[in-house]
Amino acid sequence: MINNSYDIVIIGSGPGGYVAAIRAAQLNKKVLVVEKSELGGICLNWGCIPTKALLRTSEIYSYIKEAKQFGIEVSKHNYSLKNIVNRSREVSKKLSNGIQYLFKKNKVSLQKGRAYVEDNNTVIIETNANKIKVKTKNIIIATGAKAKKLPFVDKNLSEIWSYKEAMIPNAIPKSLGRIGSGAIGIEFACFYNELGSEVKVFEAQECIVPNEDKDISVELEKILTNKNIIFYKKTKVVGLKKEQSFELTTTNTEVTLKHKFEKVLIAVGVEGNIENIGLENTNIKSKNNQIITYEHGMTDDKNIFAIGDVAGTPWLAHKASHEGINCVEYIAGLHTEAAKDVKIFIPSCIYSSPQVASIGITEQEAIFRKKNIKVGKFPLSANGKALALNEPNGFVKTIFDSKTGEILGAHMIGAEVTELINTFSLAMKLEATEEDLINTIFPHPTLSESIHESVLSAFDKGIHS
Amino acid sequence: MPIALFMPALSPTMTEGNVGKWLKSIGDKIISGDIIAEVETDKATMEVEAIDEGNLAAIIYPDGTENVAVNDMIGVIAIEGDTDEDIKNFIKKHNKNNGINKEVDDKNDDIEAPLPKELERNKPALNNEVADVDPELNAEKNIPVKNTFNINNENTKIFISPLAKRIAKLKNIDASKIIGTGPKGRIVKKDLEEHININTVAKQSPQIFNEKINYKQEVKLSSIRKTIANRLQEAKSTIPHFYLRGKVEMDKLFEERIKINSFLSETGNSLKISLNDFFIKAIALSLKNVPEMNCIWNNNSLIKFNNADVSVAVATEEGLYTPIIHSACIKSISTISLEMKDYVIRAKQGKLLPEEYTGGSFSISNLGMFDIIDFSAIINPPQSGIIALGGIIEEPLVKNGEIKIMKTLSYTLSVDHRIVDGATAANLLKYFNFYINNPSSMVL
Repeated sequence: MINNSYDIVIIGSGPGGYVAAIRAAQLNKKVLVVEKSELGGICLNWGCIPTKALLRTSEIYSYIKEAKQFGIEVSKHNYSLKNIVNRSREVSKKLSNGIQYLFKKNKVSLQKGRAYVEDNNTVIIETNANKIKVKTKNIIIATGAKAKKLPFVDKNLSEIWSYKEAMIPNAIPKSLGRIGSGAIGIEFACFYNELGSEVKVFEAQECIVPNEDKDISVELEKILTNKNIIFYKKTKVVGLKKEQSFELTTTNTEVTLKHKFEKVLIAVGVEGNIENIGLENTNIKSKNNQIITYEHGMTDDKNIFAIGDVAGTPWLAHKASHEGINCVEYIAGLHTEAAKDVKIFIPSCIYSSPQVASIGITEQEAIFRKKNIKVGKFPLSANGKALALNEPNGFVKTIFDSKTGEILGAHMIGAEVTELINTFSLAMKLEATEEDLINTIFPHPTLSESIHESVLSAFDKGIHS
Repeated sequence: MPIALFMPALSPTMTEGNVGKWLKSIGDKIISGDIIAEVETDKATMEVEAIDEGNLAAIIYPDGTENVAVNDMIGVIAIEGDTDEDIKNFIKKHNKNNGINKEVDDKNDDIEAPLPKELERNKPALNNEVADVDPELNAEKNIPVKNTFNINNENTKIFISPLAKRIAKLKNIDASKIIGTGPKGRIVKKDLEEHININTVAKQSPQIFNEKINYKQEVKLSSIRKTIANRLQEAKSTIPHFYLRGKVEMDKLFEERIKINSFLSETGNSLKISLNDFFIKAIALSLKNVPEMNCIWNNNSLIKFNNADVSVAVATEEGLYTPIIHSACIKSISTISLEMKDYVIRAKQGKLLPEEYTGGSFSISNLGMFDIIDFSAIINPPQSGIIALGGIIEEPLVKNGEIKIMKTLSYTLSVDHRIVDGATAANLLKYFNFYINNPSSMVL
């Protein structure tokens, strides 16, 4: 049961909050986590995990459709959307229960309710029944983020999908308009396209997945276009109406078009959950709905820290967890590397089909920063394992500082590349140079050999290209 | 039966040392007189010389291992007839005797594999367990040390990331001078960038210099600096110092010194006696006269000496050395002078031998050349005291009702109150003043 004094109170139980709580408990801190809805936050319940469960379904479905290529005859195939969604929800539930177990095991206290900061040693928790006042030495705000809204969208248009609704559809829409081509947008586009929707994606910038390397963007667009997803780049959505169906008005430099869709999904980024958590009672500063933080998640108010999405980009679960651990270790007096230092080591993954994974800077950014670089690229079509898997699309691109051999960036597109990128996370963290990667033995036959070949090709030593 | 190579004790105060570099590799043939490895003490690098013949069979602590306890086994020599199995058992036995839980894999026949190398770095010092070493292993056949010197050991192993290493090479930076901030002190890219930054900022013209940003840099302690820090910290915080301040007229000694040096020069002798040489002799004779002061603290007892071994502080860029004029009370001033000149040169080159700066019952520290009027020094343990000599000034003194301008020297004597009381220490100064005022008595 809940006490009234703690070492650390953590608001939010997402991948930032729950990981920080467990680490704090390991460091013998008395910890309370306050969660207003499901344990595990967006990531576990409405983000990373359930979407991966859905995408697994569409992946298997695509294999079944292509079964003939593998010598298998499948005469009849169908799917039950209800079961697909149920499976996704089950996976989330399992993990959410797992956190409950971990909290018990580590003696982390949990209180359901809405928390707000009264002062830098006091948190008020509103539950259905009552108000609880809790004293604490430290407060960690890990409230996460919510989908950003577009200004021209009528608030009463309740049938517009955000990622949340798109995760639990009652039916697969005949046509789907997607605003935004970031990671979330592309993943849903792939899922609905595979299950039969006609999907159109509108992106305001000049290329899709605009944060990725240009080569990746071009390759992904080519592959997905072949799968019948239609992209409108440099195209702004300026209007959205609902009559019988949704009508989207888009404009680019030349024309203004109107598109009709059964459903529209908006995923144009997220913004921090900074409302109703008592920031007005503190000295905390925020900007663009993000709490301004310094080393180890420190804010402008003493004893109050912020981690994860609410503390700014990149909006990634693994970044939140890393910041959480760093913050708690700092509170516990351990000297840890400042979280800000590690930003370039944060990998990012898109679970589209094929997958995209990257770390470090893009070739365009390297050129912009006037770096002398060496670039290597190896196509998966020359990789034995990729051919055996019938996944010849994609490549591994590596960018090195030509003098020091520092790994500046790695960009991959292809089957299972999200499982390959950690080679570079580790290599960059350990400050390996091209020499170390070249002298590393990669197992054969694996997709990972393409990493080796890409590095070799950057230094004109490629064997298979 | 294999032969153990131990971390030698190069001085009585040495408790641990660093393995600098192995000059022989595993399997190399060793003949008596071969230099096997270099060992670093707190003050110098020594070579470990073989007195046995055989093959180098195992290296327990690789190049650059720090803080290896004295008498800990650093390597093993196999003599004719020793099998790999013998070597393994030998190391195991040693480890067991030392309570070291090193993993030696019985199944592995490769002698190199099971040997603790990298992983054993920074293991807890085994000082407490040295006494438990199997006497058989501690036979006197080892600890062969030849005191040849190599201060600038460039082969110390540095814990550095591949990228940082590359940058250091490209920018021509000596990585051994950089403090690592990565995991377990690993030198990473950031450390080099900061190093480069600081050096660039330092070179920038004053106009560009931003007074609001004060760049800081962490500097690694040299071995000698560490030793000085530890010893003086201990001395100042554990020894109950008391201080006696005094002043002595220098006019007579000045006169005598001029006479002696003119004589030396006229007789074609290039030697010039310094004032400090007289001070050494004077304090040595005073110690001989006050034997209560000519002793060292030995925890629950005192150790008295017959002759006075006087440590003389010599400042070098690396740090303070205190070479000893042994039996200074019975040496002539010219002998003392010659010895000191040799010490000063070699101290500045870092080439003093441990026995040349270890021991002594009393110290002299002289900052006269820096225009210091007087200062108090910290006792060099376990000695009884130290005399701090200031500069010589001319000042008006009242003598027999008349004001005279005299040359004077101010000094402060620091004394370990556990060893003697104030009156005894004052007696030492009485003699010191006498010898300075009557230089000819020093030739007695």
